[in-house]
Amino acid sequence: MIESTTELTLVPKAPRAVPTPSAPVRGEGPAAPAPAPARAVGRPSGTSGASSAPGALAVQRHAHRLAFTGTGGDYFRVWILNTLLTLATLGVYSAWAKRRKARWFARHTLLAGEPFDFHGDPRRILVGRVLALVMLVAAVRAIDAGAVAGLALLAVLYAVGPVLFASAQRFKLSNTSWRGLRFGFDADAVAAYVSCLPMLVAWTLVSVIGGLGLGALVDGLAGLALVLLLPLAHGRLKQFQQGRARFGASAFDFRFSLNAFFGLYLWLAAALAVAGAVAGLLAVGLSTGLRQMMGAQVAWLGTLLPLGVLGVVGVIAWPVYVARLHRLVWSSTRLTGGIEFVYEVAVVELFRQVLVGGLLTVLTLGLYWPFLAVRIAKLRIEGLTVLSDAPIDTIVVRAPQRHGPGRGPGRGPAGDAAARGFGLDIGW
Amino acid sequence: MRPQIHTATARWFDGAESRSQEVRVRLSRNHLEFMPWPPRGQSASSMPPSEAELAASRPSMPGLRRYTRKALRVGEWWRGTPTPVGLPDGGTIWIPADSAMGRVLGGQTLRAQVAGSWSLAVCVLVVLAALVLWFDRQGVSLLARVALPLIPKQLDVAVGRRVEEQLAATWMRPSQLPAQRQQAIRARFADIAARVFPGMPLDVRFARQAVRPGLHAMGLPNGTLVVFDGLAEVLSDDELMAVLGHEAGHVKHRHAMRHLVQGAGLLSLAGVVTGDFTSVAAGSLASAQTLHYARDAERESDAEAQRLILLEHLPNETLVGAWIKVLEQMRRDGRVDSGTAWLSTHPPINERIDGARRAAQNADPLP
Repeated sequence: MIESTTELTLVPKAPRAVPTPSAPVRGEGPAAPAPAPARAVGRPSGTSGASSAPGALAVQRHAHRLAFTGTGGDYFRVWILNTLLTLATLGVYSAWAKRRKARWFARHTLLAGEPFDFHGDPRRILVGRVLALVMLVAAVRAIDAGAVAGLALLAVLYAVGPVLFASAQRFKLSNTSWRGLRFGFDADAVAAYVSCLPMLVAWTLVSVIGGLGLGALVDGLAGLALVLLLPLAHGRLKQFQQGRARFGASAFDFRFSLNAFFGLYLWLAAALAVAGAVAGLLAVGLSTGLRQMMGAQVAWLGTLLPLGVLGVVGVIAWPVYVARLHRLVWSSTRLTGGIEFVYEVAVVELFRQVLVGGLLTVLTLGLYWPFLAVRIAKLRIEGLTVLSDAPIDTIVVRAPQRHGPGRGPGRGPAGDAAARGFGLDIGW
Repeated sequence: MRPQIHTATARWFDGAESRSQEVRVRLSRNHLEFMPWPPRGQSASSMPPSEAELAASRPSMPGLRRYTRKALRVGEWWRGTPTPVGLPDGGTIWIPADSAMGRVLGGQTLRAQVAGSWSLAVCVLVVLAALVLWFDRQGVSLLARVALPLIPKQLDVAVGRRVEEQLAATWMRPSQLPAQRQQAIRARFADIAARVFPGMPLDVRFARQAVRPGLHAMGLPNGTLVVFDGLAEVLSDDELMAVLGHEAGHVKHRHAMRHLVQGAGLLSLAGVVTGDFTSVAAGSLASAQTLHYARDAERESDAEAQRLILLEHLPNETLVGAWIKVLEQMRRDGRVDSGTAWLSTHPPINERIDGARRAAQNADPLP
């Protein structure tokens, strides 16, 4: 019998004083298991219209927060061998290392006491990496070779980019399982192209127009267009990622809101502004200090300073961005059967971990990295709460049955084989 | 060896739906078998079957499933987590964390043992540290040496040409050195290069620095050796030949390309060790280390200059004289290295003078 001691099952009774459904907990405070109930009660699924009436609030929602049981010490021992073998094989083992890492994190992630698992084939990861490397080299060469080759690269990116993106999603999801059932990703090429188009256009704006050097006015207009386009492009990608996913035969659904994504980018802009100001002050202070201490011998400062500024900006802006993005994405996501999600991560705690952990990682020449990775993963994973009408472990989900013609027997992993055949893990 | 038999109560998912079923699992040397527990239709209060009961009543057990161990896909055993066992029919059994069966099934590989033991992990760490050190001292250079012949020389030329164009546009102004002297130096070096660096397309170019004039020369990968006016004005012709030999050494040993290859190798090394997140830190470590290789390259080029001096029977102290003049100029400009050797692309000038002097003293006349 598998019993998880960290299982966290909240069955919120409707609190008497929940005023309106639009009062979610603004929980930037300590990482409390508290965010669930308020939202849970606030959004009873299937009671549209009447949700503001006090009586409707009596619908009981079951909240299951994800739990992460891994420790830094455990992961260190997994990581150290992965690192050694990757280095000793000049990177070939990295595909196997990636699977092992993904498995370790999946199997230490519990929902309602049951762990996830990851099944990806390392050979596919390896093929994906070789492919990514070839494309990178081709891209660098094309950029070097001038306009025609650059256009060819753009054409290739437009042609295969969306397919590869969908393929990577499929690989990730169809190789993840919970309670013996695989997740999945169902998207045809058309959907992939439509969803990726805004991002491709945004990328074109940056690379082509920015690279042509058509003058400040054109660059400015392109920049403005990019700012307006990016939230849409990002939102469409997330809609594609989340809305095409499924668990067994149950489909996920994603409600896209352009305003919400603009809001996200406003947050990001604010965070970047603060981070940039801090980094700028630090850079000016440090460089004048060092110049006075060491005289003119600071040519190396020019190379290290931008890296340092980038690091500071990342440490400050990344936690805010991650927290906001996932909160938005998960609150827009549903799973068949009235299952909803709430994501709350403590930004301050995340920031503290990244800052302290990042410094420790540098000071220990990387040896602290596995500990930091686990701390960040724990914070991020435990930010997600699943809300359902019935306890999640009593909801029966089936494997997809004969999904479209010619997909083989629709039972279990074998039924997924055809779909998985296209899955390739791209990138790192 | 006596075949060990293990039993455990585990959770079974059939892969068709998310419902779980408690099962009693029995693992023998070649087989894994299990049956739902408590059996359907029986009272839930009865005790799980003992090993003997299971073995004895096998034919009559309802719902018993049996698999050969070879057909199972067993997940790695990690302390404190259940171990998944994939069945050939698509089902999964999760062996509970506290059962010895999980360890027997998935804990026998070396990696599982390292994951379960700090002492083994520390051993791995020591090997890793040794490997990283070796890569740093020799491996990266070795790899670069192996990879370098794979990179076509045309790439050197293309890169060099591009750098030259950019420098000409931003950094170089037309030289003010008398055309006669330019011609003399060019002719003499062409003559020397034909003997010392046979087959290398070397070309001397004169220029004046646009900003911060100093004593500089550079060898670009396409074979262009740039001499800046400051240097040509201060050095004698013999000394200029030695310095040009040094710059030609950069071209001959393809230092620019090797620098690129080693930089890429170092970055990936640092990336592997410190993980993706700290790539910024990794990048800084790697660039500090590339500078170390750059200083090695300077030493290698100094050796080429000495070779030229020997072959051409120039005075032994020619390179020493050139470096001393550079040092004096640097003193005048207030730019003398002080204790930051590891952050510099060139070895400290004093060290280079000493090296050149040692080479001059040891120089034997060539046969």
